[in-house]
Amino acid sequence: MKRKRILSTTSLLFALAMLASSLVRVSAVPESPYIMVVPEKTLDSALTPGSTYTVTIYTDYAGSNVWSWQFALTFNPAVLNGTEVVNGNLITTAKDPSAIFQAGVFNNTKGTLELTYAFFDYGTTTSGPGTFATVSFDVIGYGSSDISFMRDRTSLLSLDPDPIIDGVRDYYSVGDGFFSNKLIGDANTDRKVDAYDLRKLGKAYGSTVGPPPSSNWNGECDFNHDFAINKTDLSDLRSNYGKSI
Amino acid sequence: MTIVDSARIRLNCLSAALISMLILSVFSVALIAPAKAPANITLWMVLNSDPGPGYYGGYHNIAAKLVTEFAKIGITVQRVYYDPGDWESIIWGDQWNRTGDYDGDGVHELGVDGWDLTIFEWWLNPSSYIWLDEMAYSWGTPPTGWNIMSWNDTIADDLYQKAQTATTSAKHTQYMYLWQERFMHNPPVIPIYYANQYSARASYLDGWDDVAWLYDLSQLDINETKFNEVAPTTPYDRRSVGSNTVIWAAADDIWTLFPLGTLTYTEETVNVLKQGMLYRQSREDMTYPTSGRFTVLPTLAAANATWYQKPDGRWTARVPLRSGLTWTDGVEFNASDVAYTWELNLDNAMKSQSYGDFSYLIDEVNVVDRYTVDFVYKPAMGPDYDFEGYQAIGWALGMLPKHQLWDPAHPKRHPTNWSTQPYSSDPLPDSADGIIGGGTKQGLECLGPYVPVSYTGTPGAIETITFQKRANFVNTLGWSPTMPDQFILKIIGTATTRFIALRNLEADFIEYPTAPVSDWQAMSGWPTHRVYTYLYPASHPLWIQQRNPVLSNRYVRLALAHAIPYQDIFTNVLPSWGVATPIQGKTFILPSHDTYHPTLPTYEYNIAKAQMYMNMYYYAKDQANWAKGPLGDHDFSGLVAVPDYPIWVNNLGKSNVTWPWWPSNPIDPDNTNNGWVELNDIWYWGPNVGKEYPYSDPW
Repeated sequence: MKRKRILSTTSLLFALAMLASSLVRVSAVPESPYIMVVPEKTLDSALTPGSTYTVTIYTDYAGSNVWSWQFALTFNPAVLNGTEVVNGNLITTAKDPSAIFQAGVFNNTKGTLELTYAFFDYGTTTSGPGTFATVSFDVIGYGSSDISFMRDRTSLLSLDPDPIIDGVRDYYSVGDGFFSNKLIGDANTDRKVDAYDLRKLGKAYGSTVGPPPSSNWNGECDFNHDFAINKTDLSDLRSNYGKSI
Repeated sequence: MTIVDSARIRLNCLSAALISMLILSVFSVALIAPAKAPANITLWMVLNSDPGPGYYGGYHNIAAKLVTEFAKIGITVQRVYYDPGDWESIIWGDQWNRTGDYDGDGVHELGVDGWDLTIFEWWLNPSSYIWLDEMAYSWGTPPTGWNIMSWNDTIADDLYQKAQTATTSAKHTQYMYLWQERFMHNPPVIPIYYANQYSARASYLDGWDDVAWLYDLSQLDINETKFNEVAPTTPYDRRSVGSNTVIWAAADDIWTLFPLGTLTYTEETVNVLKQGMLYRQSREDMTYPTSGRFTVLPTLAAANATWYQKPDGRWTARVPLRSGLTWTDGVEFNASDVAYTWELNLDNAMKSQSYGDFSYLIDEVNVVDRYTVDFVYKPAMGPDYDFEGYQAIGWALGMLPKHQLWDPAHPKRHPTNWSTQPYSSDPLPDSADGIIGGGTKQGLECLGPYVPVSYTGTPGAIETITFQKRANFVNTLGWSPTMPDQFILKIIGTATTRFIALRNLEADFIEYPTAPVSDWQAMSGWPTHRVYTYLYPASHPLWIQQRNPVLSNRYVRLALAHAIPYQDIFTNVLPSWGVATPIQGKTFILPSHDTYHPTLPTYEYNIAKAQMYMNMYYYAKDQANWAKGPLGDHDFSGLVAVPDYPIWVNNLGKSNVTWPWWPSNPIDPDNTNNGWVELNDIWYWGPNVGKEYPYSDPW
């Protein structure tokens, strides 16, 4: 029954995810206190299909008034498929028996993880920093994937009306993740680094993600995932020029 | 006591409360207020009786369509028309806070709070966010600001504040995007359209831009060759006036010539011409409309501001001023004039129209030396990269001559009762008759590019003003010497007459050129005129008064948003008002602006969806049918989420039983709709976490 309800809301969640994706991702180091995906970026061509990839959702918040957290993620289902969510060390029954953890539900067609949250009985709080959860994926394809928070459903809560961290209001305190198993320099995802990639890089050279993004922005050429396409990316491409996998 | 302590005590009391509930529940059926059928809602739409001057778009015709459409969702709209002065007073003037009985006859004729709905335009100036700042914030209600809707959204406040204090352009834009999403999620107004508007001017007039407007006359010029070719001699003899004079037809009466009292565009025009501004929005490099912003250039200021922090932490903009400028009586302009002008502007007792624009932002303005002033910001503010942009508009906060206005009898040395002083109504500088401080000409001394030399009509009922170019200003600033020597301002209040004046070239350009698209198109081949369209930098919203409890509910506002027949209005109303290709509105941010959210979806006209929103309102208000309502969305955010849980906890044990000793107001989260907030209700929250009501798209 639960799954049915969730399916009935997938179009909503997809729409929201699309809306969220219209916004520009936050750069690697969010503003403290933050919620972020750890590691914030993985560029590893050894993570071929069949591998397992795991990230942790972490907050550096050090206050003692943590009552609850919630998050939802989007990812590229052509590259990653979600498999498991395990509770972290922030809100646990070991800390207080009242702790409730909801692992959430993956949709590996849409590329979403939703309804993941944990909270104590009302009145109980704990201290950070700590991890919300670990999220595991199967690597199923060659390419890259943002691991992005749905910001309107990502927060760290106390018992006060205002959240400690709110994914929308504290936009730059929420740090998304990034995964790529592409050969660095492979802009067109054809498993080799050649003149076609160089041409793509040339077109996108000098662009930034913004917002608003440069008109020639092409994230596939941002090999080091620093949200700017510049000489560092050119150097990355040069170092792998002629290679293939 | 902390919130946590409070919660623990509440939990301790919970058992006792629940036991009491069990006992009382035996009696509860008789005590619960019966579910109410949705009551018909009446809203009062207060409209300016004259849709012409200043108002593109035929608001009366739009209002008529809204009456029809809103009736389909159970909302009766009563239209009330007032002449422009009374309308303005009701909407945001002296009577803004008036409730109920507007005309004092004992009959409650205007809804709950004087007005419920209205329609008029609102500019976003392409050089800054001025006029949006104090509109956007929850605390910006009159007289502090222009939040006449009483919109109260702390999330939007937070996002806007973060945008305005962002340290990078990308962050600024990102937060403005988020603010726009929030705006449409919980709309304070429903922007109906942005206008791609027809306009025209004499073909011999160069250096004019409808949006940069009179703030930048530095390149204004009449092409004499063209003038000699096309200027008519009949029905109006434009040639007899000559090619060294430009004629401008304004729309509004002049109520006051004192810059702090500026209320109409005509008054703004006069102030810009004769008093001068620190900065101006420039058309010189024409970054608008490609960037959505004008470049702002120094005028009376010598350069852009530099920022520093005072020892107490307040951010301060240091502005260097030009030297060598004089007022029309020969007295030098210097930093004390700027500081005095701003001292008056920031004194609420002076009732400046731009008090709300700046009082939240600027603490004080101090003289540093003869040609330098410091604008000290409030502790939480700045540094603000819009500083020069604010100064370039300021609702024409032209400079005031301190030496003329300084009143030793006033405790603060401020002018007393400026609205009744001669300079409030007399356009001619006091020194114009050679008798300073007496004689018959007692208007303000001038500093701007033009100075009034004559007028027709009488002070208080001016019909025309003739201005003469000021060599001191133009030469000192290095402005173009081609600027016409004379500038004639004619006041023509009727839109049709004003359009005819343009067509006959009785005026070279006019304020609010309003005529059907077909009329403009008929003129487009004429050698006498240059006809064009441009994005008029304003949104045209349905304004919603949220002091009315019905309208404070965002579901009702979303219902209204989905009951507006946008395409019908675009096709059948706006062309009659010269709007060629309207763009559906989203927020106050214009499509041309660099922070406009390009992928934000618009509202759709969909009566079924509008009715669904009304049903949600009825549920929230009357518990009429819980199946329609947002079960578990205890904070009415539209999304069932973890933050709804503590709301249930905080309301446990409450009931809508009206016994004085019983905790009341249990409407939510009474998810079972039985009149009590109890344990059963939380079971409706858990399974619905993640749901958003009622549709899967953003709004």
